[in-house]
Amino acid sequence: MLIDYNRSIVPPAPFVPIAVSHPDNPNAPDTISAAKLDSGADITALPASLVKSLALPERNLVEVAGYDNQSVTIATYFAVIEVAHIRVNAEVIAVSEDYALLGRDVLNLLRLLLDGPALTLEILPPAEVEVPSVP
Amino acid sequence: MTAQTLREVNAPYTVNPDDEAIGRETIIIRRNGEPVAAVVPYAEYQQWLAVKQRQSRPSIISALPISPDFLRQWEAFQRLRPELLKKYAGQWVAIVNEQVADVGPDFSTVARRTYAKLGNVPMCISEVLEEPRVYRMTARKVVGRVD
Repeated sequence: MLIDYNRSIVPPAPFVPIAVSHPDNPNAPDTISAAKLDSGADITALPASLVKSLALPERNLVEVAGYDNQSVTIATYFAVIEVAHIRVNAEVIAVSEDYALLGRDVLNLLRLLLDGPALTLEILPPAEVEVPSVP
Repeated sequence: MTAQTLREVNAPYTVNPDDEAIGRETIIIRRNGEPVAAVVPYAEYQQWLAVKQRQSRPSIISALPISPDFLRQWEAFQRLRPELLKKYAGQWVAIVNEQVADVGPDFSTVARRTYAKLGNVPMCISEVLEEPRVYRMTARKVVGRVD
């Protein structure tokens, strides 16, 4: 699947479509949203408006720090996120942005090829697992 | 790190302030080989106090209201943490009705399993760590209020 970068952001940034659902109803995603790939984020973040509209259940209070090392204690929520046909039971935080940030907790499940000069990204199929032969 | 071993149970113990290690490194005091106390540099102690205060009274910056039922489970986790560290260090636990409802290797497993078993009830799911994890984000402003 080849996806164009979002060019309305300067510089353009890679986004992927995600489906988010409440854990009560994981088979019927309530919301399709765009998520910016953020390899600098330890945890995935969803727009607060989305967390609110889905009434995602709270799961923890954690300390989150930005690059300036200023930290805040915020709630985490339980969301079912589907990206590239992979479904993740994810712990997420709420942010004020109107798009999601896919952190490494989810990114590390995906095979992605970023083509910066072409401003495209490709979601690659899952790698085939080689089973070592037993002598 | 310096190891100090206490051998005589009835003897009064003093720490020599002239010991060069004091204030510079952590000294673990052991009784019968088991660690019972630590002497740490004062600056570290102050940092620890600040962390403890933050944990006991977190200033929560939340875009959304936090439900009191969830907070009770979170507070129960804080109360249970010393015992949980002995049994489940490094694992994830789900706290429901202020008790351990499940233990597993990661958030996903515990969240899915507990939800399947108990449904959408107030719960806290947390990793059992000596020092709570600080999540890093590249965004300077990690959360904001929704007006």
